[in-house]
Formats: sequence, structure tokens, C-alpha cells
Amino acid sequence: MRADSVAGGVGFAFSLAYLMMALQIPSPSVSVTAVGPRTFPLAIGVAFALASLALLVKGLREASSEEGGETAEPVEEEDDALAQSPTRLGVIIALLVGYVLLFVSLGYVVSTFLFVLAVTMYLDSRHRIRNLVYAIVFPLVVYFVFTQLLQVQLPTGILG
Amino acid sequence: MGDLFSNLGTGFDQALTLQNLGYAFVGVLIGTIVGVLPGIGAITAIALLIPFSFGLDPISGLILLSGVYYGSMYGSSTTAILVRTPGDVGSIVTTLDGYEMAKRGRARQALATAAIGSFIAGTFSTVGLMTLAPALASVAIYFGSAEYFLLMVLALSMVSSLSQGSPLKALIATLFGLAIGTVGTDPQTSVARFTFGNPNLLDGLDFALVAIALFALSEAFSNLAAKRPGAAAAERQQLQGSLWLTREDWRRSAGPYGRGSVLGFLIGVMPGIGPALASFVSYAVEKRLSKHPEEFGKGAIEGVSGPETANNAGTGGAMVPLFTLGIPGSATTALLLSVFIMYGLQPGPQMWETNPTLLWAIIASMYIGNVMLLVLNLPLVGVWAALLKIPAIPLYTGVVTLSVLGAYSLTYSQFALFLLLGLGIVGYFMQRYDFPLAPAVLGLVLGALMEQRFREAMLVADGNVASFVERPLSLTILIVVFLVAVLPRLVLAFRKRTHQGNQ
Repeated sequence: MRADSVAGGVGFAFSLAYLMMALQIPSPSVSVTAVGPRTFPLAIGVAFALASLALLVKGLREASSEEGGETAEPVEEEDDALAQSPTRLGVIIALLVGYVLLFVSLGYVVSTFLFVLAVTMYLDSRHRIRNLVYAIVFPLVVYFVFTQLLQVQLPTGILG
Repeated sequence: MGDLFSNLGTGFDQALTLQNLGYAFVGVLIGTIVGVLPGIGAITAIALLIPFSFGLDPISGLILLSGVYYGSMYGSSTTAILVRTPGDVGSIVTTLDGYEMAKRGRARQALATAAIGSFIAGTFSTVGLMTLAPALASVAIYFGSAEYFLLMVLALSMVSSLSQGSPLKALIATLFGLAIGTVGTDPQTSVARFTFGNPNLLDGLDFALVAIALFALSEAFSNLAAKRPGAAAAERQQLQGSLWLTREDWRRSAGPYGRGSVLGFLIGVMPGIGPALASFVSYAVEKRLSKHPEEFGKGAIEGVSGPETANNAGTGGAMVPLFTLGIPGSATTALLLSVFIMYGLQPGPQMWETNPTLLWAIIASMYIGNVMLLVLNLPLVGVWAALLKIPAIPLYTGVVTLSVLGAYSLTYSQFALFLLLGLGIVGYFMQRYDFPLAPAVLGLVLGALMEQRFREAMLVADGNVASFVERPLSLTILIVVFLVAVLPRLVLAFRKRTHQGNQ
């Protein structure tokens, strides 16, 4: 499976970066323990590197044995109720970045209204009125429940 | 025995106050709701409720959050039966026969047997917890750092080798959890590790934040970015049939109830494996013992009664290692452990001496909560089924905003929100590439504890690694760890055979 080799490769790269940083952990000024702050991270990093390398090799091996034969993957995609659209994912993440950036300055209610409206309109433009009502009611209800009933403070932003 | 009842009495005194009854009710109610909603489970709900539970006293907070945990097991069967999508991992096998029963117009009977089995198991496992935990705690008092370290290694190796799918991927997920657990100031030497000079990272990553990102956000991403959102829920079956089980249904369910309770509890007690595996084992056992195994997969009531009983018994069992050793066996109990720590409490054998009221109050609330759940789930099942009509896009958009809200209220910083976003994306890709997420959370929570125990053990033994083999208790645990490396292969082979039988 190609997916496994990709995942293994990403994991391996991560573990190498992690190991490099683990080696740079400074030694404590006074040695108070038998085991220093570097030992544990180094052990994790080495195990991580070995495990992801194993996955990479396994993926490559399976990919080469599958070659020439029929690839079952496209058929599988059809069946999957959660078949993914990379464009949609990208747009949602971009909207979420905007939401996170404006969360404090605009305040919870306004930023959440904008985010919910944008996401629901983008994904489902047929229910305009439902989306609008939901985008107004949902943040207000949550705001009331959290600040009044649960005593959790939320940013008031431009409405404060 | 007299002691037991007087302790339990003290617990009920606490659990029966109007306030705590209210929290137990809210807990099981939220548990049922998140159990029903596919992709949102107990762990998400607990993570989102943690900021709020800061403001409660420990007894109320833990009664509430435990209620969410065992309550979610009831709700998840509803989704498994009506939509063939597990509401939570514990109900994966219920989709096999539960959905078939619903297709044959017996949805209500399937839901009823799931609720009754859950109630029997919930009560049985609470009795088990109550009797086994204090006994185990009195043994655990002799454990030193070496034993604790090895027990945590045991928990992690179990979760890696026994979770669904590829053990190698589960191992990588565990190591990822351990790796991100090392971010922050080293508590023993005050050296900053992996902080990139960012002061926000000095305290390490918040467990609840990571859990919200990996579970709630990634699930919301994969539902919202689906080409056809809500496609899974479109195959919903109608609520048909009667809630009253026939004499035949009772006769066929009695055995699964009994076996599921015992099996589920025992499996739940073992560190690293939770309710999900308990339900698989129960299904396999029922199929093997059945006089008509050919009915399995075609709406056999035993295939619902057994697993649903076992997964609920598993939650009670999973509380045992948490209460006696302070070592969580699953991602959800790991989060509960972090709540204890947040309150400044250290669960473990000493807690039965220092703070027994709290533990007994939680146990008492579990009896009460299970009664509430039975009442909530039998007559009101129509209400929960209606939750499945919530359209996917508004639902998961709401989940995203609640995740942001939850992360923000943990630390009141914008940095936390970016961390949430980054980890959410990581979680999304882990899920897409079939890496289990639960071992990552367990690794994160156990990592810090493991490192601390390892260094303590080494300090005591003057850096002599052989001390792990020289102590009889730790040697025993070490042998068990080795057995775990062999045993799961047998279980896997067993499971594969039952799987092939279904197809």
C-alpha cells in the first residue's frame, strides 16, 4: 500500500527531527538524578524512528507486490461514505485559521457567527435561511450557557 | 464486609445530595447524547467539560465526568443499531446484528436488550469495582517506582498490540503521544525540552487540548470535508417493534448478559485494553457457544445482548486500575486521571486511606447513574433516535466551534487555539491513514508519569538497570509484559477466524 509508505516516511522524518532536538537538550547544571533529561526523549526518538522505518519498508514492499495487478483502491473510495474532498478540507481549514485569528479581537459571538455562517453556506448553499438562523442562535445560546450557567469567561470583543 | 457497607453508605450520603444527583443526571444525559452522535464520544465530551469542572468541587466534578463515561456506552448502541455506524468504539460489533434486527422490524427489541444488558453490566461492574479495588489497593501499597514504571509499560504495550488494525501503527501512535508528552520543562532538572524558546510551551501540552484536537476536531474535519456529508446517516432504519422482549428474547439474552458482564469486567480491568475489545471478545464467545451460529450477522439477539453488556462492564472494570494504581487503562480514563491531578489529587492505593469519601461517592453515583440511564434509555429511546436527524453540516460545524471554545477556556490564550488547529490536522491525517488515536492520548498522559517513575527507580538502584529483574514484584510484571507480546497474536488469530465466519 502506497499510503503506508507515505505515512512511514512522514513518521520517520518527524522522528529524525525529534532526535536532533533531543540531542540538543542541555545537560542540567547540577546532576541531581541518575538519569538525565535527555535519556527518555532519546529512547522514544529511536523507537519512533525504527517503527516508522518498518512501516515505510512494509508499505514499499506491499506496493511493489501489488504492481501490475488491479488496484482495489478507487473502488474502495466509492464505498466510503466519508470519501474526502481535499478542496473542502483546505477551505474549512482556511476558514478556521480566520476564526482563530479573530476569536479574541472580534469576541466569541461575532467570530463564531461569521465562522458558522461561512462554513454552512460554503458546504450547503441550499438551506440559506436555516444556516443564517443557526449561525445567529447557536453562538448566542452557547455564550449564555457558558458565561451565565457554567461561569466560563469568553472574549466579548467588539460587543463588550 | 461490614466495612464495605459502611463505606458505601458514606458514598451514598455524598452522592444522594440534591446537587450531586443533579450532576450525575447531567453527566449521564450528556453521555447518552454524545454516545448517540456518531464520531463524538465520551472522550470529546469529557475534554470539553474539563474547563467547566475547574469550578466544581472534586466530588461533583468527578461524578459528572464519570457519568459521561459510562453513559456514553448506553447511547452508542442506538446509533449502531439504527444507522450501522458505531456511536463509539465500544459498539462496533453491535452494528453487525443490531442493524440487521432493525432491518427486520425489531429495532426496539434490539435497543431494549442493549439497555437492559448495559444496566445489568453497569451494576455488576460497579459491584466488582467496589469489592476488587480496595483489595488490589492494599497490595499496590507495596509497589515501588520500578513496579509502577513496568505497569505503565504493560499498559502501553497492551494498547499497542490489542487495538484495532495494524499493531505497528498503534505503536507509532503511542510513540507519538510519548514524544509530544516530553514537550515542556523537565520537572526534575528544570531543563526546557522541545519548547523552541516559546514560553507557552514551558508547561507542556495540555492533555485535554490534545484530546479535543485529536478526537473532536479531526472527526469534525473528516465529516465536513466528506464529498457527501451525512451520507452515512442516510441509511437510517425506522424505530419499529416493541420495547417488550418476548420470552424467547429473554431466554436467549440471559446467557450473554451473564457472560458479557463477567468477561467485560475482567477485560476492562487489564491495563491498556478497554471496552472495545471486551465487546469483540463477547461477540466471538456468544457465536461460538450459540446453537445457531448461522443466525449471527443476520439479526441474532445474542449478538447485541452480549457485546453491549460487555462494553458497559468494561467501563466499570477500567476504573479499577485508575482507582487502585492511578494508572489509566484507556484514553478516556487517562483523561479522568488528568482531572484528578487537576484537582490536586493523586489516585492510587494511598487514596483509599487519604480520601476514601471521594472514591466511594463516585462508586455510589455509578449505581445511581445506571438506574437513571435505564430510565432514560428505555422509554425515551425515540428522543435519542431523533438526534440522528440532526444534519451533519451544522452538527460538525458546531463541534468545531465548541472545540475552539474548549481549548480557549483551558488557558485563555490564542496560542492554544493554534496548537489545537495544528494537532487537529495531525489527528485528521492519522485517522485517514488508519492510525488509532487512543494510544496517542494514553501515551501522552502516561509519558510524564513513566519518565518520573523510571528516574526514581534508577535513583534508588544507583542507575543499575538490572534492578528491574532483581525485584520479585517487578520481575513478575516484566514476565507479564513478555506474555502480552505473544498473547495478542493468539487473540488476533481467533478474531480473524470469527470474522471469516461472518462473510
